[in-house]
Amino acid sequence: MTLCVDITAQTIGKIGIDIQAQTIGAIDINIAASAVKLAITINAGDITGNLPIDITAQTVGNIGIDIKAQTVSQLNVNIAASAATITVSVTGIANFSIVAQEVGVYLQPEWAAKEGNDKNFYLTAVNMGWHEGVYASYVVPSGKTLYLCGLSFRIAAADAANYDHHLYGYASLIDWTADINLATIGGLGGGGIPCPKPVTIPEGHEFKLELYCEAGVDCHLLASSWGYEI
Amino acid sequence: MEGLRRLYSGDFNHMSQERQPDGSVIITLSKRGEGRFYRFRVRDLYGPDEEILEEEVIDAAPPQYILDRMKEAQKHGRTDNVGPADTQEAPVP
Repeated sequence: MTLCVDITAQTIGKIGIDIQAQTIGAIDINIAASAVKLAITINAGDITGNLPIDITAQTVGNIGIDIKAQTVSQLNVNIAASAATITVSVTGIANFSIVAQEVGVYLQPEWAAKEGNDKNFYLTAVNMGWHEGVYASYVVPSGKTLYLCGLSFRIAAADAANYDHHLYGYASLIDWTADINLATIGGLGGGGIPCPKPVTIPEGHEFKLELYCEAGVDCHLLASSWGYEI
Repeated sequence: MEGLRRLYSGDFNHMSQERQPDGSVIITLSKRGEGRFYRFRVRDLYGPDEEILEEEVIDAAPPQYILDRMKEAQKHGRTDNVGPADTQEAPVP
């Protein structure tokens, strides 16, 4: 049986269609109206095969995709728009394979240095005696957080004749406002440590880079710390 | 006051501090690509009586002869050193 419907009215308020046939061979729908609102709800528990979607509209406001399948064999996304913002929220494990030669992946410290947001602190002191110390201080500006990724120091005898003495010193990173010693390193002649998990100083807190001489002779010292501020 | 402004706004990449015997501190700030240092001596840093005692802006751009050599190297498609001493190749024995 064939049911042909040809509606040429200029406006149609509402058309209700209720198909209860057990099988439907094919339904071709061609909507040429200038504006159409089409709500589609698919309640199928499982969709097998392919679900091709081709959107050629000049602008698309919002497309929400919620995939709850326990496994997704392949998901190809090809975005050719001149500008696109993609927000991806992944729970669990996400494996990324980037094969494009022109893609660079930066960790935040590297990216901050590339973007000019890196911070580097240096402290020098001369003729320091036993347990004498100095510090450099810096208050983190409002709206920023300071992330420190490393600390190093050097101690050397002020007098060349004392080069072989027990030249011990240490350097510390301190959140002075919170009264927390965040990291300390000591050693003979100097030392250094990287911080894979950056040491953080919040906005408005005073950070101090401290440097102490614990040698029995006068020494020259210097210390440095580096990181970024965003 | 530009140095102090940069200190408080975090507008720098490098900062060095040198404590002075009188309790003041000499601070040097620089920002990559600007070609100048802001060097100033301040008393009571971050304290209620903070005061700038001295301030100077130091030109840190490469000397003109270095810039000229770089320009010459780029003109010839070379990136290595092409200073006068390097342009004379060793004689072949």
